[in-house]
Amino acid sequence: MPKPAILCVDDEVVVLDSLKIQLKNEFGDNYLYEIAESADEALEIIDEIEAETPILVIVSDWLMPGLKGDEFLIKVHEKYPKIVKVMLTGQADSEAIERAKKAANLHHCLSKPWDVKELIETIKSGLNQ
Amino acid sequence: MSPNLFDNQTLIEQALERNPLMMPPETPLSEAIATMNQQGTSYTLITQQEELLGIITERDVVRLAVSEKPLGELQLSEVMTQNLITCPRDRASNIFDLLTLLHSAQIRHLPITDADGQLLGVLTGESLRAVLKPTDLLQMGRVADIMTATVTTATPETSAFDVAQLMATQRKSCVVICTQGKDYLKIPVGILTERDIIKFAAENIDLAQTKVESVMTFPLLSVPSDATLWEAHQKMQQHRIRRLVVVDRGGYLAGIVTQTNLLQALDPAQMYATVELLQQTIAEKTQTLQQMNEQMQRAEAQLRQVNENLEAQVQARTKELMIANAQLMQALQERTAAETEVRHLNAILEQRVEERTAQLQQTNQKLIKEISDRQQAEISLRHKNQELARTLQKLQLAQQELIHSEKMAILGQLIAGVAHEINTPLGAIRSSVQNIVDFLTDHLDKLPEFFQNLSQARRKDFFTLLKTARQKSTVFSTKQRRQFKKALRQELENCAIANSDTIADTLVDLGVYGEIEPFLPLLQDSDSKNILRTAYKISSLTTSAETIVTAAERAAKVVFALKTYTHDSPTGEKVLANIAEGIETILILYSNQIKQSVEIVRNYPSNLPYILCYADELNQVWTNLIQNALQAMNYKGTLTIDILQQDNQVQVSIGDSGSGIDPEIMPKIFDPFFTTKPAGEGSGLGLDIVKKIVEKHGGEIKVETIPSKTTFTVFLPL
Repeated sequence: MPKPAILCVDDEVVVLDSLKIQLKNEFGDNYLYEIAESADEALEIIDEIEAETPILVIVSDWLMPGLKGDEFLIKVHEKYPKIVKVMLTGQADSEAIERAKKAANLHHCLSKPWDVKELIETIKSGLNQ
Repeated sequence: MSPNLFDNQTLIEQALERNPLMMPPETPLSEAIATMNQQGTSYTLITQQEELLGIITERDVVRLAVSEKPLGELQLSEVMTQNLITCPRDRASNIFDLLTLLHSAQIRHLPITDADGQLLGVLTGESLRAVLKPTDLLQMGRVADIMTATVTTATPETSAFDVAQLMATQRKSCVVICTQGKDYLKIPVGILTERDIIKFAAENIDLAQTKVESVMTFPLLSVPSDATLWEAHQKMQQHRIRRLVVVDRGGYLAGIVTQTNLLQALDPAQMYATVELLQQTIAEKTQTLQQMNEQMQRAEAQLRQVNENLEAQVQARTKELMIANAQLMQALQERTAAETEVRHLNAILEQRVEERTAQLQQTNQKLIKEISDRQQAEISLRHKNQELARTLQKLQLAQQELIHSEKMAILGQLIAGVAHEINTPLGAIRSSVQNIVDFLTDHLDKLPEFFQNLSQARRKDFFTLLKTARQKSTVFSTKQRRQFKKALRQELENCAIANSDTIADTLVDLGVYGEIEPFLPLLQDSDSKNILRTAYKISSLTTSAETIVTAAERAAKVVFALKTYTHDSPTGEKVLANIAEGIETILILYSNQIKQSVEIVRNYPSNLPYILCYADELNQVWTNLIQNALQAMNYKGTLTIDILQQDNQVQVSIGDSGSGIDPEIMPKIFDPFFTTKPAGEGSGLGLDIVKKIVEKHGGEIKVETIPSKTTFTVFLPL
């Protein structure tokens, strides 16, 4: 039985690395941890991952080249409404957040720099839904 | 002097009775008659103190004698003919004139006076006849003087026999046939002569049965009683008759004149001389008349000439006058019209003057008011001017502020990126630090035990793994790393190693991308899970540390760029700056937007000089142009930056590979507030401010656009 996955999307590799470390430290071998440097890349792999194992949570940056976080999450939500969506951003306008909440059932929005406990709690609360 | 005229004068002098019988008016008539009879004179003049009062003639005496008046008791003054016709001597030049005068006045005596009225003498018919030749008498004598007044007459109804009997009994050679007029006056209608009777007898006409009116000579040739003997003679000669019936002025029978009468009146012997004298007189008169005629003709010619001249002059003058008159009339009309006009104009003028005066007064008042208004207006204008000056200052300030605010607006747009740029490394740092702290808190004290339990072989593998992790390449993308992970997982499964997906993931995180043979013993160790986890945790310390370094540098770079961008020259003066450095700073600020899909082509040398400029404002220019370029190609494509220094100017070109600028909006792109961006994203002041800043540097900006290549070029003088 493959492990469910958590996907992190951010254009900054340092952020992805940090996130992955934090998630791994917290959740260990219970989940698979996937990272993508852009929304486009994430959309590419989501179907691939889902073919093998469900994605439980997506943590996405908002300000990225190309597709923005809200648009990305809305797209994902259309196909995978069950995935818990969390936004992690250094700057996002309130409209975009509102849009994501409405159209992508955004679970929570975290701002950079983020607190690891808050992050973990957010993901856990999402997973417990 | 004509001898005839002289003769004429001589005749008058001869005829003039210079010593007529003169008596005072109180002389008794009887005494006068006695003296006249004694002296054989036919008249006496009545004078008093040489003044001629009247005359008494034989005819007066005969008339008085048959009037049965007592002659002895009468004085001359009572019976004399007064108011005598007299003639001055100088007028009595022609004897025929005098005879005519005597005849026409029916007088026989004509007193002649000198120029002073003094009596010179008396001309009488007798005296004149005495001096005249007998031939003159034919001219001067009247038919009445010689005619036979007793004429035997008969009515037209009388028979020729009775008429012949009358001739015989009364011894007449002719009978005048008359009709009866009024007052027993007879109108002669015909005549019957002895010769006619002889002719009738010869023709055996029954005289007794023949009325005289049917045989009498008809019409009757007659002569007036006042005709001259000459005229009677001429008429008889002309008609070859021997007698003429004489009629008075009324046409009534006056008498009869015969050749016998004429012969009795003329002495044939003297006839010739008289005729000659008359002829001479006629010739003389004719000559005189001719001369007079000639003179008159000349005079007439002269007169005619003068007349013609006069007429010509008159015509010319008339013409002139008419023209002058017409001119005068016209002038007068014009004058009248002009006067009327003048009067009219005068009236209008007066009215106008009044109106004008009123207007002027009004205008004057208005002017005075206007002057004061203007003075006030001037004052308010001065106020307004000051206000305007202040406004201008404010505007200039506002413009500065606008430039500044535009800068801030761009900054605001940048904030998303900038905040992200700072928060992202901050997040990475914070999480990395937590990772480290967590490790130190939770795992450090467990390390000695871990190492104690680790076999020699596993300890070697462990450090090999950490070494690999330290040396791992960071160039691989997540995609590549995922591929590595997949491959590793497959390998691990091939080696029947459980939990392959998590192990593969950790291996890739540790920098093991393939070649798992060296680590197979470790992986197949019963404690492999713990060994790998510990290796990962220790490795993550390195990763975190590296992340902190990288992130801190990133954050510092962004802060520096921001500081540079927002830097205001404190003095507002030009500073030395390097254009390339300014552009690089901006590219750092945009690095987040650029790094994924934009290729930056930099065509400029590294040794560009520092130039004096308003550095922060120029940075605003590059920011605007770079931002526009990125937006124009939707953050995907090629951003080309050229910097060229030549001929005392720097040329900076920023080009994008976007779709180009629509030709329709091309003329407007430098206009203030013109924007193609959605509301709220751009102020529309960007390119306007760019242009102003470039112009402030004495430079210019140009744009070239074609689809897939739009280039803004800024020329800055050095």
